[in-house]
Parts: sequence; C-alpha cells; structure tokens
Amino acid sequence: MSNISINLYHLYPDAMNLYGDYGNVLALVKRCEWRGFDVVVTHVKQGDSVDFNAADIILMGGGQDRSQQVIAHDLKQRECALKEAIEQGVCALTVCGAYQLFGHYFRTKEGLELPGIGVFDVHTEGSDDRMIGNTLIDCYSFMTPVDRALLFRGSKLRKLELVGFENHSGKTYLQEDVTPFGKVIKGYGNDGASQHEGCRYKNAFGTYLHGPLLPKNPWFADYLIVLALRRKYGENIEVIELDNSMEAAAFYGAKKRALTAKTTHI
Amino acid sequence: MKFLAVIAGKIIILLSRLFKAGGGSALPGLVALRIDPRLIAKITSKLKHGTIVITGTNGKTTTAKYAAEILRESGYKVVHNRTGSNLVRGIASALIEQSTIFGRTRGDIGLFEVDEATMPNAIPQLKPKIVLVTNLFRDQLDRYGELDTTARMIGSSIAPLQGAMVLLNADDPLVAWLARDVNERSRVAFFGLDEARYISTSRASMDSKDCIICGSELQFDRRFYGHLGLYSCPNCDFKRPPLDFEAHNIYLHGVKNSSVTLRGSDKSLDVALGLSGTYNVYNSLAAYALVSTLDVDERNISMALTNSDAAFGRMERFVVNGKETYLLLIKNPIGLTQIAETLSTDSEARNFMLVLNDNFADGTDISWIWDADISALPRHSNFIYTTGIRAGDMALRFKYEGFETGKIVLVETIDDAFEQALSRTGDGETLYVLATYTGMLHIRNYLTRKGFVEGFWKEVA
Repeated sequence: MSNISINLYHLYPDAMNLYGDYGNVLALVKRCEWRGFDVVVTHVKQGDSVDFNAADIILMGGGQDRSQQVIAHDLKQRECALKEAIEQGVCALTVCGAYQLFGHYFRTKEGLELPGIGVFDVHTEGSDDRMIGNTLIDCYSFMTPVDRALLFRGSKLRKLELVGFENHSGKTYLQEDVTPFGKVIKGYGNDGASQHEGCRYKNAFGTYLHGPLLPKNPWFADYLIVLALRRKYGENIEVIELDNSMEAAAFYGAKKRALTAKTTHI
Repeated sequence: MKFLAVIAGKIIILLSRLFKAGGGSALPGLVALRIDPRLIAKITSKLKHGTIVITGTNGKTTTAKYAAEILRESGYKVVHNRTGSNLVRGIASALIEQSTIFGRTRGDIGLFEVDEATMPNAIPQLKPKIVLVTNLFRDQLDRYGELDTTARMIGSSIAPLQGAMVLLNADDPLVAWLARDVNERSRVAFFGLDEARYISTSRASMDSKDCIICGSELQFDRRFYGHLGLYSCPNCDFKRPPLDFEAHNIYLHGVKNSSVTLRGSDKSLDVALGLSGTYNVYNSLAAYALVSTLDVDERNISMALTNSDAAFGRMERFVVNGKETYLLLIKNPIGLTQIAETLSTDSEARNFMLVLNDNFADGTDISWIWDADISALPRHSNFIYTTGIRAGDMALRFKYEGFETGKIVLVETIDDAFEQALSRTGDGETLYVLATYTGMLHIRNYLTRKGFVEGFWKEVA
C-alpha cells in the first residue's frame, strides 16, 4: 500500500484559517497515514506559483473580511487553473469564506462586490442576520446512486448526517440546477430559508459547516479520500476501515447539541 | 429606583449564598439593572478617584487583580469586579455588593475588567479616567464576530473620552492601531516588551499578521507570543510605536515563578513575580503602567506582584486527598498554546485532564481548539482525560495531534472524570486540569461541595 500517495493542497493556510480549518487538513493527513498512504501537504500562499493538476484534494477555509478581500484578488489569478482541475475531477472542500469565493461573487450589505471564481454556480449576498450555531444536515438525498453504493456498501442506512458549526451573515443562493450539499435538519444552511446547505459540483464541495467538519464526520473525510484515490488509481481501489469510536463520540455530542439548541429560523 | 435596585440585588446575593447557588456574580446585577438601567453611572459617579477600565482578550483578570492589590496596599478603597464576571451585569453586581443598602459606594476608586463586546455599553456609564487594552486575540468568535469588529467596537467606545489616559499594548498591531481613535483631549501611552530571549516560534495564533493600513504581511523582528512582537510593515510606515513602559531582563523559572525589570519614563523596578509565563510578564507590566499615574509606593508594587497568586481559576493550586491539583482556565487558542508551552518546561508534568464545555460563557463554537498548538504538551504523559459537554471533540483534538489513543480517556461526567484522574495521579505527583469557563466553575463547585475549598464568594467578601 505504501506506493499510494495523496497530494493535499491547502490554500492560504495563514489568511484563511478562521475556524479551526487546520483540523480538516489534519484529519485527511492522519486518516491517510493510518492507512499507510504517503501524504504531501502543499501550502499555497498569496503569489505562490503552483500546478493544480498535481493536486488530489484542495482545501480552503474561511477568513476575516479584511483577509478575504486580499485573498479574493489572488484567487482570481488562479481561476482558470482551479476550474480546469475541478473539471478533471480533483476533489475540493471549501468552507465558509472559501465557499463564497468559489461562487460568482459576494456582495456586501454596503453593495461592495467581491468577485469569486465561479466554480460553483452560486452567489452570496450580505445580510443583517448572523446565522450562528451547531448545525445538522443530511447529505443522503443529494447523492448519486454511485456515491450511495460507495458510502453505504449495502447497509440499510438512509441518511448521511454531518454535524458542524456555522457562523455567517452572507446568504448563498444556488442557481436552479445546482446540487446542494445537504438538507438542513437543524440550523440555517445557505440562506436560512431554503433548507439547503452548501453545494456540490463534480468532486468539489462548498459548505458553511466548520467545527472543523472532517474530524468528527470521518465518513465524509473517508469519502473524499476514496473519491481522490479512485480518480488516481482506478475504480477498484478500496480503503480499510479505521476505528471511529472516538469520532463517533464527538459526532453524537455535537448532534445532541444541535438538536437541543434553541435556534430559530430567520 | 436606585434604592429598590440595590435592595433587590442585595437580597439575591444573600439568597444565592444561603442556598449555595453560586457566587451571585451575575444575577443580582441583571435584576438590579432591570429596575434601574442607570444604576452603574449613578454609583460610579460618586467614586472620588474615578474608574479604571481594563479590556482585551487575555490578561484582564490577572492585570486587574495585580492593580487592585497595589492600590489597596497604597490606601485606596477599591471597588472591583473580582470574579471575572465582566459583562454589564457583573459590573453592577460588584457595585451593589460593595455599596450600602442605600446605594452609597464604600469605595473611592473603581477598577473594572470589561468584556470587549460590553465596552460600547459600559464606557458611557463608567466614564473611566484610565483605559487599558491588553491584547486582541481570537476569542469566542460566535459571540463577538471577528477580531476587526472587536477592535472597532473598542475604538468607537474610547473615542468620545476626554481627559482620559489610554494605555495600549504596543506589541499587538491591532491594539496599537487603536491610538488613532483617541480624542486629542486624552492621552495615549504604550507598553511592551524589550527582550531578546523567550522568542516564540509557534505559528499558532498569528491573528494579526497583516498591516492594518495597507494589508501587506507584517515583518516580525521578534515574536513574544502569538502575534505580539516587534513588527513593522515593509510597505508603509506602520510599525510598533516607541514604548513608554517596558519589561526587560525577563527570566522564567519553570511554571512556578519568574523575574522581570519594569521600566517607566524615569524609573525602573526589579520584581520577582509569583507567576510564570510570558503572558504574566505582560500582565505585571500592564498593572505597573496602570498605577503609574496614581499615587502609589514602589514597594507596594513589588510586594503585590510577588505575592499575588493567580486570579480566580486562572492557575489555582489545590491539595485534594493529599495530591496537588492545578486548575488552569482555557478559553482561546493562544491561551491554550501558552499553557502547553509553560507546562512543557516542567518535566514532571504528566497527568492531564481537559474540560471542554460549549455553554454561552465558554463560547458556543469550540472549533478554536484546532487553532491552538498543543504539540508542546509532553508525549510521555500518564493519561489525558477529556470531559465536559464536548469531551468527544477534545479527545479528537489529541488523537489527531498524534497522542496515543490508549492514553486518551473520554468520560462524559466531569465529576467522574475528575475522581478517576485524581485516583490515577500518583502520590507526590500533580494533576493539571485545563478547563473552559463553566467547566472551571463546575470543578470549583465540586471541590467546594467536597470541602476542599471554600466558596469563592467567601474570598471575595
């Protein structure tokens, strides 16, 4: 197995790391290492020249408003390269601010427009509502039969629940044919009204869930790893199961918190 | 109205002590402010020497404690929100507690630590003569929004002050930048470190690393911890301002104590500190700067800084069943990182327990634990218990940092976890309990119930 290798590209680790996003990198690295895969993490900073064709998984998190403006400009220079990589099936997980910048634009309340790179056919509008709290979503209904077969392997489960914490005032609107990431069970999601959370295009995911997402949703972390490996090594690649008991404890702790919270929909 | 509000507050304080329902540090103020919203201004306007306000992310409570002891030794009658209850209700509770039933204050100077987000609400009522900002780190983002927002909130609250002294941490770019908000009728003074040792290398908690004016990445000639350091912008003229108060000759002796030379404009003072860690050097320097404009004796400064133990729950030592226990408050990435680094200097430290709660007072978003650098904590530990509402998240933090999973023990109930951890702590060894705010209160209540410690309201009274 040691000849299996994964290249992680972490975009703007300094500027876009507001909500423990480093935890997502760590989760992928460790879950690959525990299986004996080689992992190389490339930190992409402003102005660095990089070849996204070599990437297997791209990660990018959220930042403060000030960082986000600087980063938006740098990201714009990489628009073509990133779009091409996503078209080729490279995996990407973009959280919060990164999700917004992977859409067409973010327009603040004051009318200032921050251009995105349009990987996702979505746009975001600033609002006066702060959407904060523990969140529970179900990704099952938006998965393809292939995904379901991959994730559930004959089990009778009809849910793929993910837990996280959202904190945003931007409302993200999906064009009609865009696939959401999940259905909101508890929380606000994209806009506080549609009951949809995040979006997906090919193997790229956008979501407001931080927490961080991957350590306590190891099933989804493994799904990203499997997607990346299948693209690189073929459809028949299998990964061994890991002991997820500690992850499950964290998941259920967060789920309980989300379900008992008194969040009101705006 | 004032009379009624004070009476109501006093009755609640009495009741909560009678039924041991806690220290009564928030509810009395909450109720009293409902009855008389102007209560704080009414009482503090009678303080002969006015009020002092301390705000910022870390070090408020310890700095206030240092300053309070120095002032008290120098003969001031200090009114102070000592239990770290730093929202408006906590300030009101402290005022009620330290007033007669007619609402006449027993003090002559007010010393208040004020939560950053509470500043816009508290400043117009407190009308402080001195304001000190310790630092701005990421803290409880769910409650405050982002760091820039917090800075703006503090800036706009101090802007209208006239004839005030504003003391700013020069080593924190965002805090130093607040100088622009200070009215020309007020004064600004900067404090910071002048030290070439104890340079931090951890990349964790570099929260303000870009120039506030032009957005370029700041150059740090040295960093003391987190983003505090000697910085300059390569692109414009923003840089660390010259220091009015400085700490140098710093020596840290493990986790137990340290020494430092504090310097003001025309004087300097060598002190042995009863606490250790770079953050406590900052706290002592901040207290030194605070009292420098008041009438105090240098001997009182030295004595207070040497003899002060840590503020409530910040780093308290207990002896439970003959075993030494330290209770350490954790509330944000930089604090946890600093505690991990300080503990790493003690090769005997090997028994750990972490309490992670996500109640409002802890901050409901616990993702910050992933921004902390815990890699310095000793790998040769005997065990790491994780407990509290989000025990699972804390266990994962250690698992994914590469700590042996066999040593990580997840126990949901805090009492059970503490009892197990203590029983596994060997004779002559120390148990280190790192806890978020409500977790810390829980442990303290547990110890009080078991008779190992007196209720904190007794210490306060």
